Amino acid sequence: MLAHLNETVDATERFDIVMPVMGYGQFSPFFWRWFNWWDDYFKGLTLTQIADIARQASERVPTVNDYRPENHWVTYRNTPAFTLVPT
Amino acid sequence: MVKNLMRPPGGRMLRSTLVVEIQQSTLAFTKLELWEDFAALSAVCTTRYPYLLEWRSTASLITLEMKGLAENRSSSSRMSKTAAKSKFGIERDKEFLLNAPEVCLFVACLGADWRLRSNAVNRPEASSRTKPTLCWRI
Repeated sequence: MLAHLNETVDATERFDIVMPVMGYGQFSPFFWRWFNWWDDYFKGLTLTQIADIARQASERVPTVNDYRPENHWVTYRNTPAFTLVPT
Repeated sequence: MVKNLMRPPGGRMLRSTLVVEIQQSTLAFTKLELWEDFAALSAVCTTRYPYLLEWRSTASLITLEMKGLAENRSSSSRMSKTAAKSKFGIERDKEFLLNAPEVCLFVACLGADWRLRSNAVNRPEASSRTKPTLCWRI
């Protein structure tokens, strides 16, 4: 599952995120800025709303661009949601 | 002094960000520069000795105009490739990663994060001494 997440995170480079994967399970501060930016926006929505936005996006409905967090992720906080700790 | 960081020959820098992190016994430096009319430029440096800094650019120097052309070109080549191999699940995954809208990719990241959390709760043996432990922010 972590490998799957690694691949998915790596693909976010498409959105101008700087080197999103720095190592196995280690993601760059810029990825976490982007992730937290979306995550905080989604926390204010219901699951139904989130599902509807994802459906509109996958169907390439142009109005989906109205449902985006404000400002730009590059200035958002870079707190990691998790860290990989060697034991 | 930052060396080996690819920069445009002219123009105006709009913003510069330097992130310094301590990763185990290693210092990691990540630098992001945003230039007028240019895509984000970045460099990453990881070293155990601060006086041995050597920056490695992680992005090529691409103007925004050229970037648009490159994206159009790559998307057209991707279409023919995926059409030929779309029967395979792994190819469908790659297609998703290459083409999914931003919000869909975020949902995929969020879903993987949730499943990791669920696995960590339901299978505590995965956090044995032989394997790294995932620690989540509370």
